[in-house]
Amino acid sequence: MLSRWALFLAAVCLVCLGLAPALPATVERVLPSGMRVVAQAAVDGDAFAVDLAVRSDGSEEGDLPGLRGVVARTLLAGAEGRDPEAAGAFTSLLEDEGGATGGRANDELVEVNGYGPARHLVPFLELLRDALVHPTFPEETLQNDLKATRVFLQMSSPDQEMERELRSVLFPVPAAAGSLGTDESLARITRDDVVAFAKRLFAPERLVLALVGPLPAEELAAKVADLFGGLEASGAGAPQLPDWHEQIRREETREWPPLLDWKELGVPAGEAGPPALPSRGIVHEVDGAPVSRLMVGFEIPPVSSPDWPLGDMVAALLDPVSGGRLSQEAALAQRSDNPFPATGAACSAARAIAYNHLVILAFGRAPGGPRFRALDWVRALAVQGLAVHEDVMHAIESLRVSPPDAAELERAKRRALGDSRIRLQTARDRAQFLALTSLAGLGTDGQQRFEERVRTTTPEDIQSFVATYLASDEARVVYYLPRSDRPDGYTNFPML
Amino acid sequence: MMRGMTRASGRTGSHLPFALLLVLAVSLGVAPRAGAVVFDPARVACRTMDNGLRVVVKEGHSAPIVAVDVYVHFGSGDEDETTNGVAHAIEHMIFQGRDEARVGRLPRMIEGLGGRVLASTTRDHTHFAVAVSSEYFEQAVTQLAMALGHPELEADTVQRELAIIAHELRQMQEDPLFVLREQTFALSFVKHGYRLPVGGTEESIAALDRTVLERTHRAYYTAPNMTVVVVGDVDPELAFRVVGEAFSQFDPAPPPVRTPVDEPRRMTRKEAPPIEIPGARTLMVLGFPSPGLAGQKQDVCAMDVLMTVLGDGAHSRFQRRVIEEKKAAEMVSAMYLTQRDPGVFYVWAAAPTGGLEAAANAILAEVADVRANGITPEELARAKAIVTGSYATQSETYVDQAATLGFYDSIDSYQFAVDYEGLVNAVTAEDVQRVALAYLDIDKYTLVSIVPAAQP
Repeated sequence: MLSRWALFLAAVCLVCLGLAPALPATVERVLPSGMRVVAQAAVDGDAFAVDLAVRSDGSEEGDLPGLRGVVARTLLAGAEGRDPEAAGAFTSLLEDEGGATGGRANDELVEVNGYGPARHLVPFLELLRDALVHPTFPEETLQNDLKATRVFLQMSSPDQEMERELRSVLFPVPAAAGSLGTDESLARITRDDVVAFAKRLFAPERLVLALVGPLPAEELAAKVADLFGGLEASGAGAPQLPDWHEQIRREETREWPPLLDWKELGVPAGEAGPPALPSRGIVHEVDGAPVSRLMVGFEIPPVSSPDWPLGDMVAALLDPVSGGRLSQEAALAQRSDNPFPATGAACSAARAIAYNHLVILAFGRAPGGPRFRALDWVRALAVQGLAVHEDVMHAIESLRVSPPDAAELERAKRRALGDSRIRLQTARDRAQFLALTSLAGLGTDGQQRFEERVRTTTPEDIQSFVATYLASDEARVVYYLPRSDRPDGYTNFPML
Repeated sequence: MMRGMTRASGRTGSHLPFALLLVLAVSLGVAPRAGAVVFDPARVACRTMDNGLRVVVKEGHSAPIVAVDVYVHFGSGDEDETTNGVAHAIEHMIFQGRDEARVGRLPRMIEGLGGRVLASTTRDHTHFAVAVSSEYFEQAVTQLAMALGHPELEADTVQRELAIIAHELRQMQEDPLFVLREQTFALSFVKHGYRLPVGGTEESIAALDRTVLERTHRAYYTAPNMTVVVVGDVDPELAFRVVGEAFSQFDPAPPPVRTPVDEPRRMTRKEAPPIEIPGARTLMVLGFPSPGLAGQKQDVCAMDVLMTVLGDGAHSRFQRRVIEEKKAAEMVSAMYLTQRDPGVFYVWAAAPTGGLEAAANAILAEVADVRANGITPEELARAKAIVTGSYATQSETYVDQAATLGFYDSIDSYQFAVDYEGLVNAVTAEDVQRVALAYLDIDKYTLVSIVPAAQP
């Protein structure tokens, strides 16, 4: 029999463990079908989030780009054996109560998700399971989705277009060409295509189901095992997706058209000639763009790489808002002698499994004043954009030549850590992150690994990363200019 | 956790071994609670500091971050024509006082800690919100207090920032819904400061200067006129101590007395001439009086339910009847922002070209129906589920929770946020009909609109 003191000491230890801030417990299981389940407890709050994800890219769509997105968005519209209106009523109810259901496809993933008040967790899982096993894909729902997507393709904002264009320049392969499809391909998609493709895509052995909810992680995982344990593996397994990097490297030998014709722009003689833009880029004149925009992008390691967190670190070291290197560049400084003041800039790193990138976005309004009377408005913006680009490349190069000192590196670490934690506040964000890291092979401790790598980053790591991934000939550029017949750069009711 | 231990020991006395009691306390404390309310009263505490500052703290440990919000109980509703826009201008000077690198001091400091900071001004308050990793809590509070107590008020900086504000006001005029909303408030009030635009006008901004900003800051940024809210991964006692110390610099003097406004009761319908814009859609906003939070909590909750029945979600009356059955509008939504004093409940709609009158009549018909016949039990149950469900999902993060607690404390008390779900669940169908009769008089609304300009 233990003495009272021993019991007391044991209890005190237990109390101390309980008093420490508890990180959310996360468990991973593999069901008999091969489907992976990742479940995390949410200690606070009363919301659930589910993210069902599968690794897939455009190579699976054949000559029907956009098919993956259609399948993802319409999967939950119904299931055999269920009242046809019940599924719609349930998703409607969930939306009404502040939740949502949906699906999406990007160039490397397909996801179906749902979130809302915790009392709807089990009904949502049941709907998801039934839809995976025997989806109905109602014809009306499909046609509405195809129509809406075709309309959406026409209505994209300049920012969305730029992001797509940049990815097409960074990753010039069909798989990364844009996951919405084209007007032409969407017009050819039939219900038979959707049904056949869904069966291949949602084979249980390909799936990861990530769930966050207000119950212990083991209990959540047990619920999923109970509901999905009866699924059977298709036997087909996951397809071997091509490694597109080989093709990307082949594309590098292609001739790209020159970005800007300086003679046509009529830049006056005597203006400081900006350097040549990189050979791979796109320039557009765009309706509905109230300001000029410049995006510079680089491919960086994917989340499966131990160096993935360095992308966030470099973004923090460059981002002007937190005092990064871009804030020291002339184009972004509001000085009266600066002829090319850009309105602002931002730098961020994405999180992707295969095709990851870091982007610097800068934007500016028409420069004013007598210096620009010799140039018309569009030409002034073009020159401004090139000055901004020069400064962006200068800021990047400065990280290679003059690596961050201790204070600068510490600030960047705080920024990378803080940003990643703030991004994981909601159950929805956490479920998506768990699904992503599980597919990338990081298991359940992706965030811990990220934080550890950030903490151990050295100035030499930053130098090496910049030299390897952010060299000037690796830069890809997209530059948007408002059309020359617009007035002073402001838009009128852009969205209506 | 310590509170849990004390309660466990007190409840069971000496009948169980002490160690087992502690184990029970630990397990009860860390287990997730299914069906938890948004704000557990046991986890929310409030204290008033010696200088009159109110501090509200809610502890949570599901993420290693802390949200710190400051609500200054001063907004455009406290202004007059000569000072309109000063609250927003001071917010700018605190948040975006720029150095040569074009980065505001406060954002630079907070983002340098890996955090995020936002600021906004409304008719009732000025709001600053910070979110940081929990290990930088003390530094963030110190930086925030310093920025609030010492806005950048150099003459050059003031003039430069006022010019930026004027530029922002011009940009906001390009948002048609913003224009219609501001017009609604202007029509709805005769005396109350709510009639004035939140950011001021270009004329009123031009009349401001460093002296006015400094004087106003000194008068309103005092300890008794602020609420600081802390939510997240922090020990409550530490939070109270750190906030108390950081904000001890603030003057304990009360702000200028807010004189009750004798706003005349609206007796007629008011319509503004439509704004004609080439190529625009037909848009309208119908406005009605609405209850303020002070002294009208039950009405506020009933109004939230009424708003939901009428205009929120796929099964709302506006969606089913105005859009789907009558096809009188393409989009309709009801909005009601809870304010300190009686405010505005408004319905905005997008109608087919030439369909302004038909859309307005269809909307008014639904309002009249609720006034005459009330709502069904099914509508009541559904609306309550929507309101409370949305409250839960929109209050998931510490950032949202801090904002909600502070919002209500700035216009009444944080306790309303804690009690909100229970108050909404207590609303009856009779309450809903009562507020419809009291506030949504279909002969005393305001109507503002935008229509496409006729082709030449």
